[in-house]
Amino acid sequence: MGTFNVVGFNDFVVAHGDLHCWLCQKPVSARALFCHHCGTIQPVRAIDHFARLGIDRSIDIDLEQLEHQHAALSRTLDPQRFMIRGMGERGHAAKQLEALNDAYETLREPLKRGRYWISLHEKESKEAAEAHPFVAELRQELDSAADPAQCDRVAQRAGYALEVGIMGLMQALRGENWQQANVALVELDGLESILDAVRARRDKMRPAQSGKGGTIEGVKS
Amino acid sequence: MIYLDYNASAPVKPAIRTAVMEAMERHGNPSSVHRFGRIAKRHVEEARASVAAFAGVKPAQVIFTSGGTETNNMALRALSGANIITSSIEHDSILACVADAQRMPVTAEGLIDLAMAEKILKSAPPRSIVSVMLVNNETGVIQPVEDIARLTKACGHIIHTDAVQAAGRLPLDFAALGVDMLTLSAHKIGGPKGIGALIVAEKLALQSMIKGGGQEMNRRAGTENVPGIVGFGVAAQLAADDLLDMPRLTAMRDELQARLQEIGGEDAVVLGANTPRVANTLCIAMRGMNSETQVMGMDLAGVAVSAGSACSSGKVKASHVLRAMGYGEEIASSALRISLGWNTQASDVVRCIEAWQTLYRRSRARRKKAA
Repeated sequence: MGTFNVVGFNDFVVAHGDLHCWLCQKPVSARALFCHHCGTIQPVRAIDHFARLGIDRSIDIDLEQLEHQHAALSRTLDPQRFMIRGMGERGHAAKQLEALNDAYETLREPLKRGRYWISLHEKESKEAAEAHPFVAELRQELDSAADPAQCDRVAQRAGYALEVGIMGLMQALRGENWQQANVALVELDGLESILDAVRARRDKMRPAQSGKGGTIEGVKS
Repeated sequence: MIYLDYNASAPVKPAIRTAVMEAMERHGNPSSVHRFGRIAKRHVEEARASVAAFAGVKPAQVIFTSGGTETNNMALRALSGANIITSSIEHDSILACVADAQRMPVTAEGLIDLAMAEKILKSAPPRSIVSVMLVNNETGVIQPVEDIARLTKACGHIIHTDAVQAAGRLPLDFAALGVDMLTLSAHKIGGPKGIGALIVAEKLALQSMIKGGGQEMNRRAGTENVPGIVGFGVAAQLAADDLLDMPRLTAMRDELQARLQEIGGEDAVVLGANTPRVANTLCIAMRGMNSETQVMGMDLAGVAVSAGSACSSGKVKASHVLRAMGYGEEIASSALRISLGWNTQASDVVRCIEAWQTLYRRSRARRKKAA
């Protein structure tokens, strides 16, 4: 039959191989709230917000499903239910609930979700931003900038594009067009990285241009 | 042997087994006033709180029973003499309970037809009991229970949902569903067999079907099945992890479905594929081979699955669910239900694909020879 790659399955295997219940030492999955061998609540593990809420990893999430999952999992982690347990279990339950709420708050807000999505795809985002024609053009222009005035021109263009991009992002978010929002966020990240690069470039130029002073237009520090 | 029949019964989780064994060693009767009795009572109430949290209700709304069948019977007999309305795809524990009940039809995708449901509900006598399953046991299709509950309430009826197949696969919320009664069974979520619960709305006064002592607040007589209840309580708590496991099961089920369709082409018919389904269930018909032969062939190949429908005798008959969806004898009697769960690995799915492929090749060769 050959290899069989199922999304999430490899994570499951790794998790089972590497993680153990803090109490009985039997293997547990990274996303497990409880050990299936001894029933004990587990400490918070490093998993993404989607896995913590048991929903598909996607920018375009089902908000109703998110609400229901959060409500059901919150009831399971209700501190009242752990009152008769030991200190360790109470502590883990409280931290699990905190992590759950944090994940929920991030995913329910489109802007926070978008930012989080970008952070999950940092490498791809950077590549995408660099591959973006306008961002790539600005980067090229900055690379060949020989004096502060040329740097300032790049910053001005990037600053203007950033303002337009934010409007585009808001429009996409209002229309719940997650794909377009994602593209806009990637572009905005690219433009911000250009502005960071302009600042760095200007700092390097400053000693040579000492006495001229001035600020970079379009770059907020 | 690979087990892919979680909709029939899920393997017991180790922590639940341990809890049940420990409870069996404690010999108090929860109704006794001495220390042993009080300890048993405390364990029952802890489990009740756990099941209540699982369903999103108060502990007093949970009535422990002997399982899904008793619970469904209890719900339909909640009001003596009430008219019963149900759907044509319900479990036998509903259909056989009131054979002459009005039945709401379903669409070709296995969803209850809301327009027809509205007509039936509007013409029914007031205070009828309406029973609709939340998830179909054969196709995994999620029924529009919230919509039906709204229609039901508008007509002054009472609504019950059999949520046995939804537990651990969908986050349950009794209030959000808008129902008056809800059935649960422990063994579908890795708990012991022989224990279930009826969740009831606070204002609904139930008639006890079993007469005797005052257990379960006079709503279900008989000494409580303490080990079963304790196991159910732990199962309800651990079911939170089942909810977190759904994206993994969805990925495996979708991969399984895609591979079987690739192998079988037009001879592989997926039932309920174009409507929301729970993550763990695949109902697929193989043209040219009846369900019983497929189940036996898969069993010989080391994969335990079940037919679309099976009765207690083990004799497989054409699925009434698929019939209700409008499928003819050929599809209705050749469906296989493959259901995954908490202990399913990708390698299990691979074995299942291989076994199904072998069966399919054999079936095709036989048909070619006959032609």
